[in-house]
Amino acid sequence: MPHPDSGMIQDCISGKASAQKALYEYYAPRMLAVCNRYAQKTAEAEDILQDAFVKVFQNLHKYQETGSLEAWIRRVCVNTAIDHVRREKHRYKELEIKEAGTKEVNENALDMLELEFLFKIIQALPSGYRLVFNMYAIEGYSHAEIGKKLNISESTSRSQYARARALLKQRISEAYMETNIYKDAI
Amino acid sequence: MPSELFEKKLREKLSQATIPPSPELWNNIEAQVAGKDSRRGFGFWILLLALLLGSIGMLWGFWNYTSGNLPEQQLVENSIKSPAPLLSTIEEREERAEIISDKEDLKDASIDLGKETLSSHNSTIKPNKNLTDNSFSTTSKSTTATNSSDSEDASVFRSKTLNSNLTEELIHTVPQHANTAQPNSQGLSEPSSVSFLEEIEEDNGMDIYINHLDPLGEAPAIIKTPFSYPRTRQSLKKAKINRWSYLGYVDFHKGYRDVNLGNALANEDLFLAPGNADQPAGYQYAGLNAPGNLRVIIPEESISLGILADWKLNRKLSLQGGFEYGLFSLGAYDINIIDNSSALPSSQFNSPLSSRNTQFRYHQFGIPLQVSYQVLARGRSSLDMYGGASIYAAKAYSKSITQSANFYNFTADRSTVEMAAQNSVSSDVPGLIQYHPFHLTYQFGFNFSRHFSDRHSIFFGPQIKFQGTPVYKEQQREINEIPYYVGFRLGFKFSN
Repeated sequence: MPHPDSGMIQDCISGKASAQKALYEYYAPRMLAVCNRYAQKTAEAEDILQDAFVKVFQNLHKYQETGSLEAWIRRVCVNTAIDHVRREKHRYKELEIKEAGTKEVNENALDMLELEFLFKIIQALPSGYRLVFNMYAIEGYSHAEIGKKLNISESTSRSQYARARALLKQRISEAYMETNIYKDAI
Repeated sequence: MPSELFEKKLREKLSQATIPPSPELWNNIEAQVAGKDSRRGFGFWILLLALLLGSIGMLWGFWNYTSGNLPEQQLVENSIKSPAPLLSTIEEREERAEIISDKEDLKDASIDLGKETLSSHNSTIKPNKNLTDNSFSTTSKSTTATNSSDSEDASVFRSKTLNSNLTEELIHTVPQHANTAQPNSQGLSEPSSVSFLEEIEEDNGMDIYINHLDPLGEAPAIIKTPFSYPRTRQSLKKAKINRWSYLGYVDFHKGYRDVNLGNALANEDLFLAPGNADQPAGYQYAGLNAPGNLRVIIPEESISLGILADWKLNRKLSLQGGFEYGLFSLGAYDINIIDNSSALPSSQFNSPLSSRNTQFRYHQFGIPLQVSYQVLARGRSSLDMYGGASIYAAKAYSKSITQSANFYNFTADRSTVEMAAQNSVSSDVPGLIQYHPFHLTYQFGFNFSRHFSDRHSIFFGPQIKFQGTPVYKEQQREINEIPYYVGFRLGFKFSN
């Protein structure tokens, strides 16, 4: 699959379907993984990805070629995902959240855990937690930025993140133990 | 595992992740991109359509205006070559003259239609000095048939009168040129308002066309020439056209759009009481144990006042531009706060909030530009259609959601939520409604006009507006793909 160059970008801007498809095929798998972290299910992540790529193709002319195209597309995907979560939040059925403990995670647990399983753990987080966790831990937003973007206070973002993190660690540990990987790691 | 290490490992692991999307996803994207492209051009196509209709109307109007007026050369040819098909025989002419005479009650006039043609040298015209300005007669008292052939002569039919009131004659000698059939280019645009004498003076030596019937029957019989009464550019120039007129109007609209009003994301946080993380204050006050969403389906009501200057391109088509002020009110009447607790009193929280109680208002100042086209005109009534675009600048004057009952008040820092009591005053919520200062709207409508005089008319009609660019910012994103307003316009028009 060819790496997208400026010629392909120009073709995409001018609406050439083959170029758009090539760009999509190049980035879609990675971007779907990004969207998957914000969604509850992969089907929902595909919805987000679809919206994101529509935006990408419609706003590609705004992309400055000084930066990385992948980073730009990723940003579009993240913003679309944030919008999506906010919009669809009332549809979510939040799982009952048990108070998360402070159990530490084995260092190897993350390495040994399959990606698919890790996604499921992240997706199982309450949407508010998941959103703040993704934005802070993965995307690198500061709490101030998250507060501004989500219209919440900075302290709220911190507390959300702390609880999300604790919950995630707990579930990773539980999953690690359940799959017997724990024994091998010891 | 240290906290930084956990995040780092997580980030590394997730950054490697790829998930192949389902094959049909690209088809959806492709279709949507094409669809959105066309939607993005929606406003453009509306404008184009308006311009196209306007252009067609302009051409049609222009064609109608000129089609009755053949070019001079063609008129000459017609008059020379083909008088016969029109009134080919003397009998026909006599018959026609009788009909005209009967219709116009010209009992006294005896019409003598000869096959004579007027000599360019000798044709004379005799206006009756007792006649009104609008009536005149011609006679060929001194005419001499210089050409015997119909096909070669200019067929200016003369009428002969026996009216004894004719005491004075104005002798007008037609100059010798163009076989006497050169159409007159002057004085022909508004025959009803130009006196015969004036016409003669303006004729400036050119041929005379007899094109009037004397309504009183006092004048000699008038025979219409077989060709149309030409209206030339010169006559158009002479006719005064009132190009400028001014409109004032008031618009009433109802908008249809969904808006996420307030923070629809982290309701948990929004409803948390400070220092009491496990007990959301909002739930406490409201008696709820789970919040719904603050998505609001807003019926946006507005009233706008505007003035427009109207510049006529032709009789039917005009350009309009001006200034508009609008007052918009968002009625948050369908806030969806769900009570999941059957044990708690819920009725007051489940009931939709009244739009009259919950409002956010903003001003809007706009510059509308549009094209207007007169579709129909019947008597004193007319129907116009118009379309165009407006650029608006919005300015809020109430950032609060003021609420009289059954509503949460958000404190300024949005960390706590209080339930408003009946008729209490809520606190301001800065940024609760965030909007773009400028936006674009496309409008379309029809005006039914009633003209009270040449200068004054009133009009009313339906109107629809489409939002070209969003009004509200991301947090309150508009959910509708193309938000629109429907309403009607009421106004008056004054012409110079």
